[in-house]
Amino acid sequence: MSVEETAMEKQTLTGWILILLGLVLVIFPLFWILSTSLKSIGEWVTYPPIFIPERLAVENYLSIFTGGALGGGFVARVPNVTKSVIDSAICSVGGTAISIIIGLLAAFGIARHRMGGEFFPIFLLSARMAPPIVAAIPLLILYSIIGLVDTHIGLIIAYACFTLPYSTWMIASFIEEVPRDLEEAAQVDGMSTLESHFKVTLPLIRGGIAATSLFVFILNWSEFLLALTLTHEKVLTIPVQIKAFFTYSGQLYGPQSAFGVIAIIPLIIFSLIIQRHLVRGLTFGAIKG
Amino acid sequence: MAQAKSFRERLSEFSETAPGRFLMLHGPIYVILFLILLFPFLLEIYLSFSDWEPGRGEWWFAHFNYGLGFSRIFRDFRLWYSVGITFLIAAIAVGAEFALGLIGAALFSRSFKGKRGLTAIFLVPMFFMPVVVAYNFWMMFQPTGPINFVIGKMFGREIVYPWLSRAGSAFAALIITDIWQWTPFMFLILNAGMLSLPQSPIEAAKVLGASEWQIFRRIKLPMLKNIIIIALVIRFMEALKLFDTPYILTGGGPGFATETLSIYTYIVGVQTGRLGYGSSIAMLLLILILLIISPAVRPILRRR
Repeated sequence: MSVEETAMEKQTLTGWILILLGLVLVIFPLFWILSTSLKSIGEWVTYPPIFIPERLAVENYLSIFTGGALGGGFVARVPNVTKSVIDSAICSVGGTAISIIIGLLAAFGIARHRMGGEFFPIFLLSARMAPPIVAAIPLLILYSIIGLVDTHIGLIIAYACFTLPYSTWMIASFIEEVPRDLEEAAQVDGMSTLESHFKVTLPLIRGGIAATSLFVFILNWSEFLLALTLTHEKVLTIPVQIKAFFTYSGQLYGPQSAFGVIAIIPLIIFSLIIQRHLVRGLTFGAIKG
Repeated sequence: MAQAKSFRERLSEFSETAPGRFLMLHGPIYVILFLILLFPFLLEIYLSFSDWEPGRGEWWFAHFNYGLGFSRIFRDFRLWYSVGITFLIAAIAVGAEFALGLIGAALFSRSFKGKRGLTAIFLVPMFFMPVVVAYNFWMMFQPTGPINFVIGKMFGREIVYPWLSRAGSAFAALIITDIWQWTPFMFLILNAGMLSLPQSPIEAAKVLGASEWQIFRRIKLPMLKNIIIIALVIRFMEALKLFDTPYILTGGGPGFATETLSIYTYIVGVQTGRLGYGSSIAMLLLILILLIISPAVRPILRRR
């Protein structure tokens, strides 16, 4: 890396100007939602718009968890979002866990035994690239027959299924980086093939599995269409709840923005942790990054 | 005890045979994929030939209309309009994202202070929940919102343009939102590609006196070709699925101006409960996408 760095050209003035311009364009929307989340009720819709709130209205953040009322003159009822945070956590973690376990097994099959031949990789990639609505409609029918509509387990299974292509490919690309010789040596010492997978290779790709888990969690946490289709009221995830804010009387700019900020905090933290592996995840392991 | 051991022995013997290994490693993924994807898919084929709605009794009594749904598809103007909208959005947005991402990657292939931190900041939009991004841009595109205000300041007069209630500007707003969120994807992949290029041809060109632009155009870009194709394919396929952002930002409106295929299918199949016709459309969508996918996934598979 450092050798490359020295070989690189120095950044030019034009380059700096473009980078700063890009920085402003990236940061402004981030700034806007953060600032709105801290605006008092009278500052939400004004013209000219207010950029920096006069006083930090922390009550926006508190009200969404207490479900209380807001404001001085007119009272705005704020929906309680605690349940949706819990539901989102349950469904995302559950979906991630199943996706990782099944994906890990399948990844060994692909990376070490070329199982499924030509057909399987194409099948898996197509499953990911088709629009989720194509599967969501029949899934809704299937779920209504077997009674999984509006249940945690139903959403967990759907999430696991929809992220399987990512977890499988990403873990497979980590397995491929471990030399086969290690497993073969263990097999000479009397381990079975599967034992050599799980006792030799698995410990070596722990970091990769952790990265894959966070990556899959990010996908599940942000998922909207499946949750919107497969749940109504008993299960309520964060994106669906954010959408539901629109239908309450009056636009609750402050609390809704506060909710948005809270919803993305885990995403930002996790994506920073796995930054090194992002390229691999996003391209199904096709580019190692 | 002895029996348990013999069972374990038999199990490990079985796992040493090809079918045993297949069952243990690939069994679960096939079960879940076939149960959750294939069975509903078959159900969808069945229902796509019917005009079933939940209110009309159990699904297995679905009334067959012998492809009426499919014949209706060809007369469904709103459907084909949404096909056009979807492809237009994908083409414009992905094109712009690619251009901006390439510029970004080129700028970040030079050395400068604070590069690591800036890279992290530039990636943030990609990890915003799409629903939150849409809500945020919905606020900003309001007539009295900051975007009108800033444009007004630039031209020195007051602008209160209702972006989201005019067809053309709502369409533009949706594309701007998509570009904001997904340019980082292009930037990330192209940047990684640039950093992984072999240095010797670049050094050689430098010694021969090539300009930075020549090196970029004649050496780096051709070497990046495969990575560029993969990035474009993945992003384009994702853009064809577009649902969250328009659903929150514009709700598909005004009129049908921003109604993507996914939104229209959702409205037909889920919101208005016409599951039979919804399945017909979903099938069409699947066939359409598969026709594009099969050549498109090849570069990704070849790289592996």
